[in-house]
Amino acid sequence: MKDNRRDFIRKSGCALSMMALATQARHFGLMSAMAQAPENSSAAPPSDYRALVCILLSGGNDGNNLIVPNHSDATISNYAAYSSARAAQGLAIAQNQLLPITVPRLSNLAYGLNPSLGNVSGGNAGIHPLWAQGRLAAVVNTGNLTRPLSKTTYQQNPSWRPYQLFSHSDQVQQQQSSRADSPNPIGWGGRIADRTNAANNPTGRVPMITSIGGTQLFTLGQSTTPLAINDASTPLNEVLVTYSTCCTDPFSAARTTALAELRTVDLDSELVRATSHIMDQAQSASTALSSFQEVTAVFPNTDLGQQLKQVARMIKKRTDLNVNRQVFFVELGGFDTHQNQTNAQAGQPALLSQLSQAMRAFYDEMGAQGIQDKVTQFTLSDFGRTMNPAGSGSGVGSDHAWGNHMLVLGGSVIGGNIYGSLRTDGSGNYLPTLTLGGPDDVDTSGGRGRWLPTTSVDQYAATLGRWFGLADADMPAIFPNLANFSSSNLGFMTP
Amino acid sequence: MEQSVSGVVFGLFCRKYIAVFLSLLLTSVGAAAQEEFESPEPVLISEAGSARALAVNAENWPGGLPTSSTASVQAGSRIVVFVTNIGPMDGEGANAFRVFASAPDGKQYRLIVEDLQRLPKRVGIYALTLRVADANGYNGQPAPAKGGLAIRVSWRGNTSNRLRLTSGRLPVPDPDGLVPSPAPVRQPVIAQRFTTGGDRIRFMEQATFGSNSALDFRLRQLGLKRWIEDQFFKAYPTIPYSNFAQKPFDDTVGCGGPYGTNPDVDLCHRNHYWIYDNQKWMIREALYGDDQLRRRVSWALHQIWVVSARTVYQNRWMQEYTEILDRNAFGNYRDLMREMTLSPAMGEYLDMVRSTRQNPNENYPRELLQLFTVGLYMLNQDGTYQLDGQNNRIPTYDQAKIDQFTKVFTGWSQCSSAANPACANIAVGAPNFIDPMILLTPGNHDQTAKTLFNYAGAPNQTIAACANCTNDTNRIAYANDSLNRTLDNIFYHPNLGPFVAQRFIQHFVTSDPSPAYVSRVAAAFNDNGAGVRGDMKALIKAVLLDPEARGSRKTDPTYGKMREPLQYVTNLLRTYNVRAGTHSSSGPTTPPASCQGQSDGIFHWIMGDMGQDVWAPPTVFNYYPPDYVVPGTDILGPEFAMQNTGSSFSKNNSILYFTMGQGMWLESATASNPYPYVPCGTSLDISEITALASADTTGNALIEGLNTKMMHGTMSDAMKTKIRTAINFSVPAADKARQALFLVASSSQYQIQR
Repeated sequence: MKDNRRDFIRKSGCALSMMALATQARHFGLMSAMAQAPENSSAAPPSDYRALVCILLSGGNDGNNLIVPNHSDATISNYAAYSSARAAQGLAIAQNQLLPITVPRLSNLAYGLNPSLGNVSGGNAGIHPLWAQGRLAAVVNTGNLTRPLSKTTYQQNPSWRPYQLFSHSDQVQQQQSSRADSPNPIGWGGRIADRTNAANNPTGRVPMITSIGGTQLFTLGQSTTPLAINDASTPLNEVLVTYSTCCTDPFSAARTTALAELRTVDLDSELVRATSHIMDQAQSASTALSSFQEVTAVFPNTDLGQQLKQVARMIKKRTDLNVNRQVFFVELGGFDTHQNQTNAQAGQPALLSQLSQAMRAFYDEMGAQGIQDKVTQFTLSDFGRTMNPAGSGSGVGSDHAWGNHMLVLGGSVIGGNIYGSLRTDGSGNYLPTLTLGGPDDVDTSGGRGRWLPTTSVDQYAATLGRWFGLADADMPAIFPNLANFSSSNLGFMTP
Repeated sequence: MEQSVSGVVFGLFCRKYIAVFLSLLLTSVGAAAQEEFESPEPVLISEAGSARALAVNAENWPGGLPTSSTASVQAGSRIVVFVTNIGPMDGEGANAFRVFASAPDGKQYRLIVEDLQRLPKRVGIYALTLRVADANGYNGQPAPAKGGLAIRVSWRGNTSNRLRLTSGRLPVPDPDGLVPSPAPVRQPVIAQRFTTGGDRIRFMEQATFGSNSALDFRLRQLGLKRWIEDQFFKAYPTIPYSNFAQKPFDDTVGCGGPYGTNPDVDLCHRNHYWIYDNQKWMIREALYGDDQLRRRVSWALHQIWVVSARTVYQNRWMQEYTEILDRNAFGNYRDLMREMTLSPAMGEYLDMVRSTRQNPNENYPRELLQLFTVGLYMLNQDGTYQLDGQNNRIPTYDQAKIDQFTKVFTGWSQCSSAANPACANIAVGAPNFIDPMILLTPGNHDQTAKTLFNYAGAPNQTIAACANCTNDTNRIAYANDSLNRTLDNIFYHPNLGPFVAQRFIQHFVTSDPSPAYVSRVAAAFNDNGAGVRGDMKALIKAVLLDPEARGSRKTDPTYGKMREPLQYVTNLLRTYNVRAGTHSSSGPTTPPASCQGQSDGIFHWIMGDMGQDVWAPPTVFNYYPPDYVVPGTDILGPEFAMQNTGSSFSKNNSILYFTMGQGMWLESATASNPYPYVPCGTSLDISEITALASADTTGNALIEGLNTKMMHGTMSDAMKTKIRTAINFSVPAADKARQALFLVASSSQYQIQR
């Protein structure tokens, strides 16, 4: 309810302003800037296009309620173990609600996806069916790590831990930087772009990275700054419209000229230079985006749905933009569910439903564009959440934790399975033992269920980066801690 | 020195004229003259006739000024270089200086400065010991190869000449155009600055929501320090709080129907459940308030002690939170800590209101430590990180400590007991967001022992378990006592001073202050001179009157801050006499009399487009994080987190409507729209600059007018030339004025406050 109200305020405000601005723009005769340039249709589509779409679930998605054991096998954490840790406080999902999946890597045992990932009346079928179709995979018990840790080495070596575990701002940064050893202003998306942009997009008309979620760390490189645009509620050809470069009368033309030329002076101030650089980039992107074709899939009218729709519009324009490799960043907030996690309107069910519906629409749109296997969606999130609930009853929630499950979706994903690293205790499991105070719980206050991850975000990222086109030789510079782990390829992407 | 001379000249000048004004003018000029802190620009000393920095290896330096450069410059070398034309204050040492190096490949490094010594036998010359290494290593480490490093020294926001640091051959010609330095001087020379009060304009940009003539006059009368003191006693707020009634959680219940039912119901939604009125109030306070300094401090505190209307969505709830910020802006940080901890808005926002002994919630205690008080890492008093033997930062606390602190904050909830006299402001059917939180169910408070911070001299390192919690009275007393002890334990943590100092400097003056500046401000926070810690007045004076803040021009390329969107818009509007709108899309163009000619403050949607929806930051990490690094640099630039392709255009377009256009139009009440959103509109008054454009057709007077008022005299010749070309047309003076104003206001040069 609160979010809807917020959205309403924001959107009504925006609508009003756009209306007012547009009216005034006409008043000044400034609308000619929005005249559309013809689509460049003569160029052949890039032969080897690939795109990564990063979906940040900010606040820390509760992975414990994303993938749930749905079996009674006594040798591995089963539904009863899950239920005993969460049911009393009202945080366990009823077994008959779980969406069934099987996991080949765990002897085809039955697991369940959160019920919000399924069919929605009036919406689409969700991403659940794509598990069985082999297009959706989960990378499990993954988190920020500098090196592999056991519970013992974790306890004995505080300096081996990621810095500031359980703190939002730090953990969400490490997800994006893959630098759990020290704060770093460069994201792994940015580093990939630094490395691959020149070779793949030599005549690209926009930066390799496009962000619909602002200039977040993931999107920043040493030489890369992202194109940051609004979601699909703004048409692509209007996301970057400046009303000051418009007219042909000499006085107006002089204004346009001066505006551009002022950005070429006083660059000795690094802050002025950075400001001018961002505006320069905006101007050239604005020219490149002066026209677009609408997508055909039906996207939900939600925060994430409209973000992914804008991504799909950009991808549809890839030929005209002369880009062969692209990275996109979108963000869905609200996962910091210390309370009201089970609330159907605003809690995790609503958020996961929004996620599933938007990812599915985007997947279908890529199918319509004929490039389902060229585009991969994947999730990041600050951290997982405590197995032990916070509070109880209708207000029940969960607190900050660590190891978490990620989703990967696309035509090149070897889906229908889980990936990660086997636990070191010989249990043959990739998933944590769901026992409070158990072998995977590194909580200090007596077992709230903060799982020690067995797979690092670096390994997850490197697997995606390899598919995107990184060579082995690129890996050390982009993921400095990757060499500490046994595998740089988790195997969930087709080569 | 220079100022006193000009003061005398001014005084003589006055005496020749109206004697009646003499004493007044002498007083006012005197007040300002005592306070002008212009700092000279350091000069880095070169070898005679060469662009090579005079440098020796620290281990080979016998002391004194060498005659030639003998340094072997390698990665990690400790090098002594020599600086003159500076005048450090007592206590101003190595951490007042920064040495920036650029390599031939364009990479920038911030070299580690280890020591500053005055040369005993050479008046005015100082030896600076630096290490050829970058502390944060964002660009890797400098490896001085061919061509060496071009280095410069910055001090108090001013920068030196650049010289080449190399033990190899000097490139000829020098690729960066470096030249030998001027001869060393015995007394620091301050270049002739401005007679236009440039530092006063800078001060107003830092201490208020924008400069204007009335404020400038007041500053001339009082001087900066006395103006600050005057502000401490100003009544507030200038625009009354709206004081809407508290309503139930559910808006359809509180307003008798969903939005869209009828105009009266819609008005109820707008007044009670949206932040419309608080945004309007805030912007009007910024534009017209007399309590400018308190408003700025309160706004900065909001961005540290973040509560967002995205969760705390009723106007009255956010108002109560704002009142706490306002009330404590000139008080003591410790009082703010307690009031904010028990604020129902904060309790709701960070879940303390739901944290119980049985089901503790870590959210508030974690953010209290991380974001509001001590931060994640142990700090030196100058704000730099303490490092362990492996050069790693040292965490301030770990999860186990969070668990301990969490216990203290359990059991508190909203004051919703009608029988309790503390809950005087309870409204029937609505949650109480006015009275501080209480222990409604005292048994929900954790009564076990707690282990808190144990830094040297820490008060209350442990809190014993409750010995007598056999009844509610004792439980409440124990919880209150524990809270106070815990807040003291946090308040006296040595990190608090530098933590708060760094953030305040970032909000008011510059994004990446020198450690020496941070340490001076932290010292004032730690002790106001009368033994009081946490005195906000001492903090504010230290931030605003520091020599790194003051001076009419700063030349360090890393100095300054991006104007946050609210500042950006209000600075422009205040400078040019912001007023009500003069145009409407339909209907009358005269605002209703109730507007009194003033803006209604309703332009919050452009705020959102620019990335700063007032009172509604996206997360507890504020509209932008304090540790954001400007892309492509290693400089902190928090506000750059909001600067991207999209918001760059939004800023440009927003400014266009206020300058080239007529501003925000006004919206008349009609039968179908009895409660307009933009009843008064907003425009600015260009008569002053139009007169300048009219009086001098070359455009010079117009450009200099804009230069003085908007850029405190620092506009470069190159920028003036570009603008002059753009207005050199036979068009009405008003059009020239608008064009020039737009070009300055939209420029990157103006977006950065330096």
